[in-house]
Amino acid sequence: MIRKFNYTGRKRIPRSRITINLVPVQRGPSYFEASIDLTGIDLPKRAEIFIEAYRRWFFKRFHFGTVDRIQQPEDRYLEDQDPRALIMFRVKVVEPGARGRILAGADRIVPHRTDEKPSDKVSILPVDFVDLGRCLWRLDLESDPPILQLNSTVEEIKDVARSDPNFMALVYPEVVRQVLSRIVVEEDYLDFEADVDDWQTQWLTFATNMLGYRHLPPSGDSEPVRQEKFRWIDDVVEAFCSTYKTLDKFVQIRHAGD
Amino acid sequence: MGDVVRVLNEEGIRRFQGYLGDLRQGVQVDPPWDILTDTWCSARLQRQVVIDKLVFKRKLEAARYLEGVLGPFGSRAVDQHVGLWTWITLYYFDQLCPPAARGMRRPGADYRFILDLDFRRYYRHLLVGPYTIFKIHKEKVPLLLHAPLQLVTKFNEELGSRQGFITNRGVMEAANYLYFDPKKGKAKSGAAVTTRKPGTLIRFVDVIQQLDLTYDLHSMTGREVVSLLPPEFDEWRGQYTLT
Repeated sequence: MIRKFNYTGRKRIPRSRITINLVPVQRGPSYFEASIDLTGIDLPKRAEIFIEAYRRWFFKRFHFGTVDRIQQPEDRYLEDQDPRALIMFRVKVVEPGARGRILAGADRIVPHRTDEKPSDKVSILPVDFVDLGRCLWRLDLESDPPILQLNSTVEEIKDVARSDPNFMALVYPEVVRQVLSRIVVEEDYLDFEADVDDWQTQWLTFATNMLGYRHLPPSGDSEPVRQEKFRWIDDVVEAFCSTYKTLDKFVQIRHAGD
Repeated sequence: MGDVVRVLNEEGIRRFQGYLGDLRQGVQVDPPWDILTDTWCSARLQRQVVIDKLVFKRKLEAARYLEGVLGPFGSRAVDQHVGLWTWITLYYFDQLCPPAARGMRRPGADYRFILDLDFRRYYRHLLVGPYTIFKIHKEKVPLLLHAPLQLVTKFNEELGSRQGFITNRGVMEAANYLYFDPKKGKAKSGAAVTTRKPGTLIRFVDVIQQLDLTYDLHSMTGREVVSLLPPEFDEWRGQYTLT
């Protein structure tokens, strides 16, 4: 079973202490607003804070002052980025001096978009809009966390993904299956006690919430254990479909035109 | 006197793809030059851009030239424009896939010529890869730009495929200090072996990934990054031994 150890002495900044709002702008570069609460985390007052925005080969770094004086820089623009693109963020608190040692950090932060309704829920499946050629959707399982890519050339794809019963019934159960297969079968990651900000832990929590009971399959990669893992994933997918009534809604919409 | 840049449409890309498939099957015919101007296969750009059929000795010259031509349009209009890059690739096809012995062209995978926006293949495009590296690093990383256009080196593969590396100026300059021989104008031999031999490229990747957990590498210069490396890199450090 995979467990994560932190040998670097670097402190973790809980996600709940960081808010990043992305303000998409149709004509001109989008920008972001950030707030960071470091209260109670033992850090030198002069330590410097940086926020880094990244996506593919785009990278930009912003100086947010020091621990005792957090300040948003004026330039928080993300030039040349599609306003719908998924930009991720990381926060670093760095020891002052030439060889900057990282004292605390948080990575893979998905910003809240101000053109979407605010929500208290944590999104476990970031969505990106890219030109996928002839494909409608693709699950990028190699990124951390996995990203649902939607074809940016398809009109209203965002609304389709959000509320179309066909899409709900045909795509999301497969997404759940693939992500859980990566976590449970490929990575053998079965640790509820791990960091709550880890995307794997969040997905396992989501899965057990679907099931309605706190149960995970056993760890290991023997054939019987793998079979048990696949059965567990089947159960979660079925519970997901049941919770969201995917079949009922799919059938309903098929008969709506009759 | 140059040529006006156009954009291949779906039909144009399909025909180019078909041609690449034919080459792989051993069918050696002329590239479909006609689709560069055929209005069924290509369209004009909104803004007129003129391009010259120059001969580029290395990736660096091509990247520098293309950045000069396309840079003013801005990243958003250019970087992910599949039709545009595929047109330019066909335009320079003789340099990107030159005929080898007995006139045979061996193209390799489609993504080398037809831009694939998947991040794992994007940087492998024979023009977009060097163009993007040049945009970020300008002339500072010849390690990734010294090879002829049609070659994708191990350095391009290992460093170009990693977002955390390619966007980090200090790390890329450090790789350049270690593995590029400015006198010979090419990579030092023996650096890009596929095994984890001490101090070589694969070890550099391993060690930088470890250091990245502890140090704010984005704030460092190439020399500062080199100074953090363990003694196994001394052989490559050469004149850049730092205190």
